Amino acid sequence: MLRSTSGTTRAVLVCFTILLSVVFVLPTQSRHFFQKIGQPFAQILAVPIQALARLDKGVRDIWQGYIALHVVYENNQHLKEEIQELRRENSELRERATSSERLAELLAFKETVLFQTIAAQVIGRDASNWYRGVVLNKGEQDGVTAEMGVILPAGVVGRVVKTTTSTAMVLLVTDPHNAITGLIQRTRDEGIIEGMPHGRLRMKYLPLLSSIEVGDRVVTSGLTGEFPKGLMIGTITRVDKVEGELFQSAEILPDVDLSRLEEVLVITSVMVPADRKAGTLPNSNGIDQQGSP
Amino acid sequence: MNALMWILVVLAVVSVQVTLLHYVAIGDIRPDLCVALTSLMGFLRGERIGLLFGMGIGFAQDLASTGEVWLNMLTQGAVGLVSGLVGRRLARTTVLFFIGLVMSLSILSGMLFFFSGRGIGSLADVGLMLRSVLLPQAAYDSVIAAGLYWLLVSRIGITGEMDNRHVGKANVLSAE
Repeated sequence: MLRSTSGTTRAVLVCFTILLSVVFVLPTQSRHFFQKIGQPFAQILAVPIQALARLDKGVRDIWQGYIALHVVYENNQHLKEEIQELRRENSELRERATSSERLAELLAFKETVLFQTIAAQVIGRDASNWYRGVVLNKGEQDGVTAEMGVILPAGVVGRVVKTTTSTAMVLLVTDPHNAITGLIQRTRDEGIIEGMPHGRLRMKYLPLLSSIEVGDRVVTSGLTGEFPKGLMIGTITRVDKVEGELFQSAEILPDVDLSRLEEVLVITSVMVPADRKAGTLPNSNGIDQQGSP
Repeated sequence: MNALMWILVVLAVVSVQVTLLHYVAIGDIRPDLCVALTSLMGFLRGERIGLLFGMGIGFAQDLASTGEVWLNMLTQGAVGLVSGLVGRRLARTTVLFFIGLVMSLSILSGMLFFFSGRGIGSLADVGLMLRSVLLPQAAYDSVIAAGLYWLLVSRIGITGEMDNRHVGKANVLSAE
């Protein structure tokens, strides 16, 4: 026998329908409303997430550091860090060389790459498969706000899109909803870099006459606020030039392995020379790092 | 279950979804525990509980996601509602039917995401999205949901509150 819908169920259904209509009719207002009421819940949710992340890290550390070949793992980590550092240094040197050849005033490039960062630990992945995102263990109380850039020494990771008091949600550079401005190091052509569904990047709006090639390195152009100029993004793996199109595009393999993120740096401010005079001196890499992950 | 227990379940499931599920990812696709559990809740407890549980877990999921704050709340609510309606109106069903239902609901929630303009890519990417995300995730979700069904209904003996069911008997549900 089928039961008829009860009064309470009907009322719940009516409320759901009204909510649905409100969300579609007033999307911006509803977003603000839900974000506002979600803040305290997000803080509560952060507690079990951070606890599980700590447990996960503890188990992983024990496994990797002690059970699975203690010395080999440490050597490997050390070499990986060294490779990343050398790649970053190489990229910076290339960038400086190209810049100095092109224009004398760009010898002040060093000043353009000065920025302050805060180290953060990746404690989780986006709760759905529809976005490529990660959750960081640093939030508003640590000075992290939306639209800040997130990097590794090897290159660009993504951009902070949402924050709570103690966590931050980062949309990875490979997400199709993310777009940053990039620059091809060799040809100096600029374009917009977007994520692709299969985890690579696409650089769009490149001039048709540009001589870009597979293997060219792509860096941030510094035109948008969240990333300073010259940070590595990736290497071109394919060039698409379609007849009749006004622009050509290129596929890029990101330099950072975004599936294995553990610690990242959040760019909290891009410094100008005045900041430097004020006494906040960066380290030898041009990166002034604060805090522990 | 009282309200506190529901809240604890939601917090636990979303925390596991965010922190641990990447270990069981196959080809970058993780199962959506929230879809699996919401479908099961709706199926066992009816459309009202399904809808409310779905909205609650979806809201928590949104808080730990880079997307809009209401998107999962509405899609998961819809999943719980449809699951409850289907479950209540069927006289006789099997676990295989339940697996099919969860697959359909997972695809439905994915399509809602996509057509709300916030899913992966543009309309031209529908095929790619279906192949690369929707179908694998739906298959994965249905396996998880079937596992949960087996655990909760057949092993632990949770039968749900719907009086037209006699669950737990050799994968067959009966209705009056």
